[in-house]
Amino acid sequence: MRRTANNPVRILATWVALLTLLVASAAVSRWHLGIGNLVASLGIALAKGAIVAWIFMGLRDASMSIRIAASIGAALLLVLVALSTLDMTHRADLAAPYQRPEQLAPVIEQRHAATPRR
Amino acid sequence: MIDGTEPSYLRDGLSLRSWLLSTDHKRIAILYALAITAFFFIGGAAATLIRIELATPAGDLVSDDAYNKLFTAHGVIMVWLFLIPSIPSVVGNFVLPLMIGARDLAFPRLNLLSWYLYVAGGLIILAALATGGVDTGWTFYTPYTTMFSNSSVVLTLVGIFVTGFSSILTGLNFIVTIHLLRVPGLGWFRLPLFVWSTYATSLILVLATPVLAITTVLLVAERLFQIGVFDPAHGGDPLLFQHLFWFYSHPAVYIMVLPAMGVVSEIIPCFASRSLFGYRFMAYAVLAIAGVGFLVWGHHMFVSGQSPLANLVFSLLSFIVAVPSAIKVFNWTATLYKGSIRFDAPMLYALGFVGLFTIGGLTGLFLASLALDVHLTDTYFVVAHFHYIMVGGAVMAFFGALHFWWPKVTGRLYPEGLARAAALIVFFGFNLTFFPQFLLGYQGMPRRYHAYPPEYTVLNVLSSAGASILAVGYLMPLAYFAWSLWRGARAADNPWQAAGLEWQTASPPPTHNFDAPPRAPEVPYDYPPRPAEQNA
Amino acid sequence: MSFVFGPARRTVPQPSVAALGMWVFIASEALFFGALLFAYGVTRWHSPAAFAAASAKTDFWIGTVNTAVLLTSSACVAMAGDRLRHGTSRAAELWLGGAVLLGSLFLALKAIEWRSEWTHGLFPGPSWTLDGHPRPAAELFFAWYFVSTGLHAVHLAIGIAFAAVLATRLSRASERFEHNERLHAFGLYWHFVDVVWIVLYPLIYLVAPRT
Repeated sequence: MRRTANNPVRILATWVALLTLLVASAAVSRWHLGIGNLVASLGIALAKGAIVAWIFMGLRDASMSIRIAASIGAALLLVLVALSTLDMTHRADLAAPYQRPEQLAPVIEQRHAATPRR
Repeated sequence: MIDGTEPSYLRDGLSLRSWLLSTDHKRIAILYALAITAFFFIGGAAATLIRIELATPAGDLVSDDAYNKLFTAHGVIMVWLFLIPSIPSVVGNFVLPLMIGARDLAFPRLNLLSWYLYVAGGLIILAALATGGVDTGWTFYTPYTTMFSNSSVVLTLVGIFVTGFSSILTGLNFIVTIHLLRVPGLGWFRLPLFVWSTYATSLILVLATPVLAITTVLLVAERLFQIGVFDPAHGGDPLLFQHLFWFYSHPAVYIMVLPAMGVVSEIIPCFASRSLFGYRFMAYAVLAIAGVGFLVWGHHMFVSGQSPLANLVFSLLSFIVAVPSAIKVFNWTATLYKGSIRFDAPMLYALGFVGLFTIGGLTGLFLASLALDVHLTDTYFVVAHFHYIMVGGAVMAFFGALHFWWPKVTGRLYPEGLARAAALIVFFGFNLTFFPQFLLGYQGMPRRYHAYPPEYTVLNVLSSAGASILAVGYLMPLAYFAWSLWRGARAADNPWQAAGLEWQTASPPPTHNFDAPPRAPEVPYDYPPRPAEQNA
Repeated sequence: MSFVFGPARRTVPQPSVAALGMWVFIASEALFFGALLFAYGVTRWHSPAAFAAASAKTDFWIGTVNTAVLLTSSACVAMAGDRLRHGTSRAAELWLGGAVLLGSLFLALKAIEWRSEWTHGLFPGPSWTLDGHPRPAAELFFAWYFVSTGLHAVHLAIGIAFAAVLATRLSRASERFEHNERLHAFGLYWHFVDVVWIVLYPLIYLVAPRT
């Protein structure tokens, strides 16, 4: 039987780990890292979330159907984000005749900021 | 096997209170049936006015604003208050626990809550209609909805939000029921296809509807506070709305059609006396439709300003999603081969589904082709396409289900002659209504217009004439079903000699469904029935 | 995928009805909040500077303390589950009470924070202002902020109510088995609400570097 429920020691250790990560993300936020700030803070948040899900929510000991239920939401969100991003990042590539300047403006601005003009 | 001693679920408590507070899935199914019938006819009334207006080229029956409110009301009511709950909440609620040998759903009280949420949402939407209506179209596109419409938008969105939670809870209930309440020995690959379809539908209900919920919240916030999340002048993006809206609304059409496919998979083997062809592929196809159905929403946005690369990807994915549906059509057809076919009313509806869904599905491929879609989008071609699937498909399957399980639900037989006539009238009326619309769309008539150039008159008149015939076909069952409740012949346990656990109990069943837990069948579609099992 | 192919030998017992039901509900909630995060992502991608300016106006200390409060409350709920499994239902009730208190503390701090933001003109609408300048995309940040923290608070309040009710009933011996299942299912909900906040925290408070 691989099912071993949470015990006080494990709970305490998890709590300490979570608070440590919180302090870390608060600390990192004081530095200017550009995109690194977003990566670090979101990365730490996802780590904290994963720890809560794995230990506190019992995914560590759960059956396959529970694990699938737990991950399917994230998987579908990934689909929403991926295909929408595919749309939004390529709008300025081939501006269609019916695309109005105001609609394209934020995207074009982004592109000009990101890539040096030749 | 009718034991006269214990009461059926219909007689188990006769007060209004016993019905309105019942947690019995069978009674809740009937509560849903009554509510959706009412909404169907309200939505149908809107359609009637639309078709009367469109019988003449001039916009002479109603003003353009009023026309906008009519087609919006028709869309909102038919989608959220009729089609989405119809087969899952009526047929699924009644039949699913019986099919798996369970006493009830996993969460009976949640089931009752679902019904109340549905009715509350429906009443809120009706209130919106009564206080001036909504004129944005059921798609609520920004910026019209958020900045320019002077109608009861917020109230309608609140109503949709509430009914959405009814959907989510129903789907949740079904998923847990199917996973955990099957009678011992009933493995997944021994389940009827209706259970598989209901499961896939429930996955979509649970995962897609929350996105609609958030979208309505954002729309309401934008409309009330003008925050500009969909307004480029404020740093927002109108296509963000469309991505969010269609991410739900495309899978929503699979919510409407998958249960219908499940019903057809039950009816055809029974009335052809043949085991379903390609059972495993049918099951996998159902899951594939649900899964791939989440990947194609951008095909509603081909001309909205979506990037050409995304258009390409969505077009390709939309072609792919047609494949599992095609597999199902081939397998239903193969099931008929060498069968001994009975043309009872349920079978007429099921066969109608197969043909009309095929036409609807194929025309979807026309629309998935980018070059064609530029010409066909927002024309009557699109209107015809989705009505072929929703009405020619889903509504026909719903009627087929009503006829097929009517003896089980009510313990009465409906008059077969009238039922067959109604089925044929519906089929004829439907095609006369909607086939001309393919031609109208191809010739360029836009949708959502209350007046049109005179060149389109003939086809529009044909369409309106068809609608009047279709209406007759829909009203007939109302009459003869009601008649059968009082004067119909009593039904035996299994009048169709059908396989499936629901036919192993009385018609109508007792409240607790089965006197003893039924034995799981060795194979799912055990046709033709052996002589010993033919109905006593 | 043994769950697909029918009853088979298992190393883990089948989930309870309550647990599977709660996980399915959590999946739907993940899509609910996830879509909101998607809207945030798109808007921030369009206007990163405005979002940074707006985020700098949020109260870093209340946000960070609140995160610690919620993390601790999750640990309390986990402890309650452990104590109930060991039969000491009284201790479990106390741990749940701790979660109720911490959750309420979160809401109180949140209310203080909202009030402060209101008086500084940061609530979207006609009276919106960012240091006296109208800055549309920054207003969008706060619109998103109020919607998401508002929804989160509603979820948390519901959780607190359920926790309070559960805390008064755990020591009824007659419903022992159901209590374990109910507490487990409730715990899932509580931890999920915590995870939502964990993800919201950097998106609200840590957009711009805090020097």
